[in-house]
Amino acid sequence: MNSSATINQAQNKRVWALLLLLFPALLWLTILYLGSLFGLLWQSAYRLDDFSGQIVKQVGLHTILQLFTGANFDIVLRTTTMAITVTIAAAILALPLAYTMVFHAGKRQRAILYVAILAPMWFSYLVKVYGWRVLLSREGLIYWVLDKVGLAIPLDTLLHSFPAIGGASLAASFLGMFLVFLYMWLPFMVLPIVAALERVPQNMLNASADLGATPWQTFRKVTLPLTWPGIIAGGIFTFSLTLGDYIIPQVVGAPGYFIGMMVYTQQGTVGNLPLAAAFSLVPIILIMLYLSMAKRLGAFDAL
Amino acid sequence: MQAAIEFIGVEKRFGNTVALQNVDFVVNKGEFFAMLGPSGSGKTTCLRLIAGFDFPTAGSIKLEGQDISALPPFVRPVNTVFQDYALFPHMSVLENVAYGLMIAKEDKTSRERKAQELLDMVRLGAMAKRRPSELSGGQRQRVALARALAKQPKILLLDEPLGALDLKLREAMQAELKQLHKELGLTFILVTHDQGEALSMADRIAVFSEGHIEQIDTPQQLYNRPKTGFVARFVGSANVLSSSLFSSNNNEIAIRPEYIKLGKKIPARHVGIPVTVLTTLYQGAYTRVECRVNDTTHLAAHIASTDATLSNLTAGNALHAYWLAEHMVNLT
Repeated sequence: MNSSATINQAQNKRVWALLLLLFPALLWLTILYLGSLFGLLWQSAYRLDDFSGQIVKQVGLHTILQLFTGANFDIVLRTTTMAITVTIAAAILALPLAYTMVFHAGKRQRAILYVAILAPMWFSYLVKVYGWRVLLSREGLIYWVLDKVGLAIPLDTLLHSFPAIGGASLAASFLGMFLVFLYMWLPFMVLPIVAALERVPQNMLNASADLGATPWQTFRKVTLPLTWPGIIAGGIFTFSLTLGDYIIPQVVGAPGYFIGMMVYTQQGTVGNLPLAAAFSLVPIILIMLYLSMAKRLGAFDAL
Repeated sequence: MQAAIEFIGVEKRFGNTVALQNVDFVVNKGEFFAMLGPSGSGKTTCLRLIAGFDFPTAGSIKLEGQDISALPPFVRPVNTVFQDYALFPHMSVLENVAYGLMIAKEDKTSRERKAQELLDMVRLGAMAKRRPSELSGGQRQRVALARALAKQPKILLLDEPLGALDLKLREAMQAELKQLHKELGLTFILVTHDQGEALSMADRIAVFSEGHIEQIDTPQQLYNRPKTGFVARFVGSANVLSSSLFSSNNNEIAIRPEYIKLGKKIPARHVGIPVTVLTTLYQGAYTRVECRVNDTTHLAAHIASTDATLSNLTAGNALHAYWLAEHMVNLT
């Protein structure tokens, strides 16, 4: 056997070993994950025959176009608006919290804050959602406190005069739903921002101060731009989690379907798998739009 | 001469650790001043106190006569070249250099023109639109320099500015920095652990050890007249011996290896001691001869490699090491 054959054999062995190691992951990613995702999305090209209730396996845009009709489009708009509002509010709340944790809290305080942020994630999702419904209901703690300080009536007036956010009570309003979403997804925004802030070198902040920038100017011109990737990463969580959730809109908030609920109902009770698939396409497209907008705004420039 | 920076009884503690104690010194206006010392000796703490990143726990720091000890960094007319450059990754090279002027609310055209001029000065004019990540280490170093000069500071602080560069580039930058200092007439304060860097660039050097200053002097004085054993050993190579070995006195003396000669007898007007040769280490221009004086004392001599006596040296030779009395320095 000559030497080049030996080398080839050794290389072949390495390639096989690599394939063997990657096999489970590749199988998972291509067939189980991407495969079933495309399988699902492919369904949206079919349509449901209204008379027979049978799925017509004819490729076309009929079902996708249904998304843009009256009630369906309202659902898309309602869900997207909520996702955007929750994401922005979460970012605004999370930034000062994360900043305090990274730059001002001592070791102990920081550990306490970490636990305070993570602990709610250890409890059952459903318990938290129903807990919030009780909190927000007319008989709940929030109304009781507001009543004591004389703010219950102004709140009701607010809820009644703005139907877009209002409802019969906090528990039956979009404002209430917004609060629950915000509470649920806030940790997903805080943690990536903390990680991003931790990666801002102290020397970079010193350099900015050295060149005459006040702490606030340093925050705006250096810290915040370097933290954008973390905010965007947190936003992917809050945005997509809101788009896909189907429990919170059922338990809390004003009547009106959300995308997640629509997917759940259409594929289950109604048996309109094509429309369910079409609805599940919406979050994917919105996340793609979100990322391309973030890129255009320069969120990834510091990476 | 007017003082640019004055340290008066400065002390800095971090918790229970004393980083600096009783530090007094004056840096003259227009001087190239170096703070030299091993890591943890307090030299970097001194620089941070001048920049305003840390504040003294006792004593005061004056800039041109005004007490700045408690001022935050952003109001001090002092700029820093950081060891790791600390360039802003999300800004172009030009924006980095113009940053200080932008913060000072200078209008865009004017600040970009000034930044471009500075980049031209450090020969990076063509790189203005690039990101710092697209530059080499040496180029980033020059951007950091241009950025620190943009606001025309009263003092330029250089924190191990050449530490991350390779040897050739480092030597070239030493010459460039010295030239720049001459052209600008600014006060430069350099922090370094590299004695060669301090000796070649600085007008005066402060040698730091364990939170205090051992000696402040010109490079020549520091090398030829070290006051303490620490300075003698840290700046260049030195033999620190007890004078009881060759006289009736008993104090410490320092003698540079290049002043020591080896021979069978001690010639007239010389001071000498008997030694045994241990090893010879060829260094190119000279050969380092390690000798044993007694159980606790060794001694090194640098003999020109062209010296004929070298060829006769072998380990175990019993000889005399001798030198002129004027070349030896009494230490305190």
